[in-house]
Amino acid sequence: MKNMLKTIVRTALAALLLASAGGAWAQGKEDILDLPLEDLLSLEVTSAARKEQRLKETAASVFVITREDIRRSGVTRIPEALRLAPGVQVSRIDANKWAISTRGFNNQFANMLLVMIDGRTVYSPTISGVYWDAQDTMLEDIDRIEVIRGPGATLWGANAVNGVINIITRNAAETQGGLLVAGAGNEESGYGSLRYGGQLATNVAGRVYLKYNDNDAFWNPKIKSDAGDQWQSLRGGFRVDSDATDRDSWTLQGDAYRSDEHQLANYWADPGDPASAPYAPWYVIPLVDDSVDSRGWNLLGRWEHSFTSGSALTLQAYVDHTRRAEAFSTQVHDTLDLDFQHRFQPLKGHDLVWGFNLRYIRDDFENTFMASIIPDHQDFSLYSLFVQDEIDLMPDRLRLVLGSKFEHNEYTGLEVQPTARLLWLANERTTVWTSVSRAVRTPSRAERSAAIVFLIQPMPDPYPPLLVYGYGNDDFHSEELLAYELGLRYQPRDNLSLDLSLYYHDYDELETLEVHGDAAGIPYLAFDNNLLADSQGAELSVDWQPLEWWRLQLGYSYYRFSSSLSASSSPLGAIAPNGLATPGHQYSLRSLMDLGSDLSLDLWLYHMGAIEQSGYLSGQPVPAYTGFNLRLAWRPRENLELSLIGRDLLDDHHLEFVGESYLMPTEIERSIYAQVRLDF
Amino acid sequence: MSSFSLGGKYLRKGMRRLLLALLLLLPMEPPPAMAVSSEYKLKAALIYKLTRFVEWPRENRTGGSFGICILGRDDFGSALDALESRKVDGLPIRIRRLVQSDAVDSSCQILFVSESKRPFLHSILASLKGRPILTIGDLDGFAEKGGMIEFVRGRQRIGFRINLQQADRAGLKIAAPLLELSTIVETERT
Repeated sequence: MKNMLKTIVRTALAALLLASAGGAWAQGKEDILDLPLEDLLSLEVTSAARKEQRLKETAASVFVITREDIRRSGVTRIPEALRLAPGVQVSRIDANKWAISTRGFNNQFANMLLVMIDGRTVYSPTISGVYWDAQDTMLEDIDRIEVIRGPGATLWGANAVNGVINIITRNAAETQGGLLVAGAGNEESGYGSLRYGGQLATNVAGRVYLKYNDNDAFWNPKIKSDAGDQWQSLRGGFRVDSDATDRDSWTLQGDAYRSDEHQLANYWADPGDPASAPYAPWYVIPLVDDSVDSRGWNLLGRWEHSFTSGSALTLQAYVDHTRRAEAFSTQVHDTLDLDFQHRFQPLKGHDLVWGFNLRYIRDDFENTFMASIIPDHQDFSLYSLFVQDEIDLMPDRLRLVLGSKFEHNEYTGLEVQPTARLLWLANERTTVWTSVSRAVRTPSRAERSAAIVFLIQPMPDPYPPLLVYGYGNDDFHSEELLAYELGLRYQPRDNLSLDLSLYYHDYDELETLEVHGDAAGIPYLAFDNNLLADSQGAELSVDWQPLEWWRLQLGYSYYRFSSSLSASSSPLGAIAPNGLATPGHQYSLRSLMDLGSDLSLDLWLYHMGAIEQSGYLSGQPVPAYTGFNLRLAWRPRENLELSLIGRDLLDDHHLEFVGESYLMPTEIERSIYAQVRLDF
Repeated sequence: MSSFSLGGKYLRKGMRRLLLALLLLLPMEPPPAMAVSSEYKLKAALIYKLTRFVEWPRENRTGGSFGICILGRDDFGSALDALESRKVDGLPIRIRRLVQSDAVDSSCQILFVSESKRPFLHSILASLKGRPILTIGDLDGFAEKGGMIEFVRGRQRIGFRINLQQADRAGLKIAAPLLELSTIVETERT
């Protein structure tokens, strides 16, 4: 941790120095404020503004979490901010693990949600899921989080099956100056973020940031004590943006992080190892105080060019390195990604976007008795092409979107993911949309090449214990979805708006773990695609501002799921808990009040229905719970804000989700903390 | 720190690359004066420029500063803060960010009404009627609804729509050269 800290601090200092030097250098140059009015009016604007207006015209189930929403929620990490979006199930497994998904299929390794930070994919190819503990940034520098529920595969690619989460940080030009945020409390033992932004040259702005969080352990109800899941994380990064010329802009950004996490886990001991004798006959080492060492860095560059005709192209490249080490496995991934997009209007009434993507992933594993990936090293490449046309059938009335992604991966070859969407702008206050899309979830490395110990069964003497393994399967192929959606956006009054989406998802070839017997009669499990399922649901959000100083936000989501094993499933049985870890009903009600120009009070009540079966193998039910958060903020000066935040105030501790079988159920504790925010 | 090997090496290499990249930025030639800027940076500059074309009544000049107030969500970020180093008629500009319309007072010479205040635009503008405060906004129909200057975004450029009637009533004088660059509109009857 110390080395990392040193590196980050050194980089930050160097960058700050550069920023201030650049600022001094830039001062002699012409300032935009000195241009005559006529010249200002002739400047072209390139920013993708009017986002909110455009949102009304999107033929998909979209919710945008704004900067203001994040600030007023008082959360300290990205995964917690996602609770703000209706239809997103955020369930905390323990202090450093989250299960997050949209439209069902939630678990510790939830794999149908694609998550991107500034255009960089952050899911792990080993599990096809996201390690949320490693995904964060300075929250105050996030511009918005776009949550797309339902398939987004045409534009975003495979694994955008049930949703896409797009985290977008602000342009460096918008985050100039210094900002310090720091806080402490019972669960949030201490945290602090520091950002400084400066002008590096005319039209070149940059910022650097550092963020540190220290979290206390939650509660383990089985042993009636501390759950041993405390953790610390440190990250730092920079972003430089430039409007280099009339028509070009570019961005260069990077982050580095390291977190030191703890988990109390039950691990298997190797019966073949004489040192394991004390653990016979079950060979379980209980309550191991294991640590997770997670670290990584990334560097991304993006160039955007616009033509006089209104067309634009974007070229983006990034490298991303992650390393995660815990007792049962160490995983290293290096990703290189190149992305190109071109948008133009070939004919009147057509807005065409096409692009291609190349991705190269190299992985490396340190295998253990409990979990191995074979071979332990692999190079994997992926390439794709997409095209989408937005056609004005009737200008400003009726729009049709047709598109498809063609993606090639080394496991399953070519995957075609088309979509058709229709948008009807009925009047100024009413938008109706509908869509049909196909999306796939491609195999993860684990589903193809893992060998994981699932069970050690003691046998009568003189037989050795029986080891039951779960194996990856070379024939495991993609999971498929055909989705039908219908949506309505209605604004009956200026201060009241409503957004409703309904969906029917038809799944095929879903993952199962099939029971087989080998030649010697020893049972084992293997991944296969033998589950058929469908889900129906609704997502509703209502935004009402009854008074200028009072705003209410209501969120509700409904989910129903049914599944059956296909005829080709093993006669010996199969494990298929997919889809059962999402409650039927989720409610959220937020009240945001400005009690004066310097005082605000925000209340947030939410209810999660019961979960039938959480955890892939453990299958534990989770009872319904209701949570209540409160935030009181006082702004004595323009640049200073003091706030007091209480979260999960209704009970001492409650269960939200149960992780995989090596983890013990952990309950989330009431959290109270105070925060100071200073702009300088 | 024994395990800080592979990742560490990459990390240090990565950091070096970042530093190098930052260094490369500095010697870059300044772009031509006609450079494109982000929407709100430009809008901030336009607000500043507008002060040259508007005359406030004498009695309004209380206090030792020129107040530019933002009502509602601040989309300008730090772009507006750059104005604080400038002066209007010898008075230093002071930026104020207001949450609610009842906080608007005589220290505001300009009031920018944010898009976030759309639901309450009518009541906000009604409460300001006749006061010598130049109201500016960029939400659709701002000028017709009784605002004084609306920033409109064309395909790629920004233009003005001015409700002259509204400015006159408040005792503000808008200079002819600005009017020539703008579209003049009237308050719509509701």
